[in-house]
Amino acid sequence: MKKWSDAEIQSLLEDEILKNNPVLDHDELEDYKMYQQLFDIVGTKPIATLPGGFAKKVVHQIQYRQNRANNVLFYSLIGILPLLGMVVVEHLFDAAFLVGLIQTILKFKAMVTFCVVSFFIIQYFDKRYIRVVW
Amino acid sequence: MFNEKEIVHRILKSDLYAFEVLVKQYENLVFTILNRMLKNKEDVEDICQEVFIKVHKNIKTFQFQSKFSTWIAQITYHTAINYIKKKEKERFQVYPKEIDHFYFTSDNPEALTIKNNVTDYVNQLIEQLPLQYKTVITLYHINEFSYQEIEEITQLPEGTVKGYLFRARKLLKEKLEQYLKNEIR
Repeated sequence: MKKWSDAEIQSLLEDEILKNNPVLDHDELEDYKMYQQLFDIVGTKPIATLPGGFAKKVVHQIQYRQNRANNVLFYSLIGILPLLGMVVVEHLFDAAFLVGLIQTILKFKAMVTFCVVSFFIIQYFDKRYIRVVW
Repeated sequence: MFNEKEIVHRILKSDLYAFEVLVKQYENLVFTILNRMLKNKEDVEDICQEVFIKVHKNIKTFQFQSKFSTWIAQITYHTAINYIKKKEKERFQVYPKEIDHFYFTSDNPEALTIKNNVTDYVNQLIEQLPLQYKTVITLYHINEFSYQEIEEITQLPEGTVKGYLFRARKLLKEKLEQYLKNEIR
């Protein structure tokens, strides 16, 4: 009967014990050699690799995506800014609107301050502690 | 010499050349994991690219609390799992009930042809293994991660990782034994 189980023989190989000092019976030594051969094969790095220039391709893709995001932002601003400008210009000459706006902000200043501070606190903790889910 | 901290620091300052150096350093790691995990080999390069884009996007969250290779392997593993769930439409389970009852079926004609080379034969057997088995085999033997690192990458408990690795190797050893006996005859 074998004294060493498969799990124990695998552990011996993992810990690289016995390389020079085998103390196993014949059958166990056969298992050990078989596992040793298997370890050599499964640890061999594959011949297939990524094509040369893969890293450059990734960098180009990142640049392309960054440019696209910037363009979307730029053209969105070009579309929205004139509209906002028109609204602001129209109301700048309306004193009643400006007074009303300032009064509203003052009335809810605690809530406005709370919202702004909360936003930045959430941003901070989100970046620092929230685990990223890939 | 590859200085991880300096490279990460430069990437954070929007240095794309530094990121290219980082990709070259870790492309083989990402490729070996994905090449083993994904059945559709034609998509491996695209998913590798997706992994590195995620690395670039999230590098600011890396706090040097683990090895950089472990962090990249973690992203790679989860990207592969998401791909398998979506594209390969495989019924993915972290702990499949039937995994302990997996056995190799008899050799198909393709396997018999490949038997000419023992390494190719073993690699072909690994391809047939359940996803969890071939993933831990790759992470442990090719990428040389420790049990603790594999636990961090896959979020499988260390005991489960050890169990999967032991059983996968035992199954492969039995097939290899049969193969070598037949070859001697």
